[in-house]
Amino acid sequence: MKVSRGLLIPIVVLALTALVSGVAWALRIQLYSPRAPFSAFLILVGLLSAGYLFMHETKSGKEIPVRRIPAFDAIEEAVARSVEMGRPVHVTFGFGTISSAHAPQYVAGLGVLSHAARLCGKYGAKLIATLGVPEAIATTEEVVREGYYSAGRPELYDPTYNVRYLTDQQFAYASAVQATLIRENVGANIVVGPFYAESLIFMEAGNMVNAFQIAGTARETQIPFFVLTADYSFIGEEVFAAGALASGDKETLASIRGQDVGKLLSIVLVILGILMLLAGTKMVDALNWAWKVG
Amino acid sequence: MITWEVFGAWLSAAMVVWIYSFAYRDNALYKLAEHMFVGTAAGYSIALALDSLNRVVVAPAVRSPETFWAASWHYVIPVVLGVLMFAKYSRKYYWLARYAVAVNIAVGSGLALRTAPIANIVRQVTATILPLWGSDPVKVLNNWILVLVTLGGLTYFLFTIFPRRVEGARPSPAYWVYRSLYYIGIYGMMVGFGALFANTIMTRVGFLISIYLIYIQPEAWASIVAAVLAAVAIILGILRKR
Repeated sequence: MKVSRGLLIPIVVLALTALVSGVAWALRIQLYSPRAPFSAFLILVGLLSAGYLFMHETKSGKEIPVRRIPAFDAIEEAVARSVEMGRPVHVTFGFGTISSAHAPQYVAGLGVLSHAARLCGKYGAKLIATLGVPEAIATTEEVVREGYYSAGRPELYDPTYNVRYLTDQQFAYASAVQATLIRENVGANIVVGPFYAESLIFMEAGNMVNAFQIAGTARETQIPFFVLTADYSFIGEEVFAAGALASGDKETLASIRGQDVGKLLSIVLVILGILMLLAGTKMVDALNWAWKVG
Repeated sequence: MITWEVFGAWLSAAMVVWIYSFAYRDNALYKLAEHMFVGTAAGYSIALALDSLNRVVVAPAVRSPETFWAASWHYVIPVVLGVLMFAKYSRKYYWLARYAVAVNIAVGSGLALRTAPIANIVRQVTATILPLWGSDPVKVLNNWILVLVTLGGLTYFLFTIFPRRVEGARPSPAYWVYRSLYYIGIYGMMVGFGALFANTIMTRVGFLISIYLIYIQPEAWASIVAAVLAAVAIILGILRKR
């Protein structure tokens, strides 16, 4: 039987992990953190393997169907509406540093910016991307340029107008973004990334110029503000799915399927844990078990 | 006596009013406050970065090069990555900046990945495994709500794996379960968002009160005069524009 290379790699990784763990256990070596549950490590390895396998499947041509996300479909409508009104489109994805734990949200925001830039190129719209992440200036310029160039409208790209780095300090960035929204009289305000207390300021400024607003974040304390004030909103994990959809990259979509496996696993574990509780067994103890030698 | 502290309090009090004036209309004083704020913040960031670079790399490397290269040589890596960022100004070598960005994003993703299985899966699952029976009806109801909303929320966020309805055919039981949990998830989240919204607004009101406290500090008369003058200037500016 011929085993494909894509399948072989995760099998080898899992086997090596099991082998090294077994040897460490036999030799009484403290290999894993005694403060972290061992189940978390198993889940991490399992999900990474699943994600890798799905990516391998897409490489061999398999299509991954994705549930429709209304906010994502609305981006095109927002750009088209702005063109009709002769107003620019504004996109921002946050401030701070990209090397924080919010990096996946910045990447998703860049994905949405890339999609918006392509649409702006397609419809001939002016795009203003404001940002407060100094490390992402080069990437943002490249993404916007790529959007206009791929749509065959390189003459519309003007880096000083299209990409505006403000500052990485929260409220200074917020005051500059709200001023940009009003002074440029934007037709669409697309706000996707990790946002903090500035989220409502952006939405209110967009509302003052009657902009079509699409917003999303995976920071749960800010989601209510976006849900309440935006015309369309990405809730939590929808931000990552939007980033993957916007990139148009099948392998990125495969990673979303890997995340879905994690959610299904959580559902199964909860149901199983409750059933086991009914039978008098505590699955929680097994999940919280930590590798401790001695 | 007018000290720097008193002057700072005046400026702070005036800037609060200038910034608030934006809620009515964009005006010259808001622009002044905004540009002062953005400029100061940018300058502060640059000073902070240069100071950090000096303290961590330059000063130790100059003071005792042997110790630096023996113990802290790895600080050279971020310095090189930082220098690569400037490559974006070269038409020929702009692609080098991508490496610095890639390392930054990879570090951030790695940090997120390290804690995600513990915080997002293990802790959440163990907190949701609750008894759905017992003698206390309130506790049982609470547990049912918690379990159903958690499962519903998880179901709502399934993007690629879910049962589909075939056109013209009767929906399968799996599809009904999926749709039921989906709607429980949406409504459960909306209730949660409402509570979060109210909670955050309460916190913001606390911030607002602390801002108002500026006006009743010692030498409050000066702050109040500054704020009133700022407000008068804004009103005059708006009336003139009309």
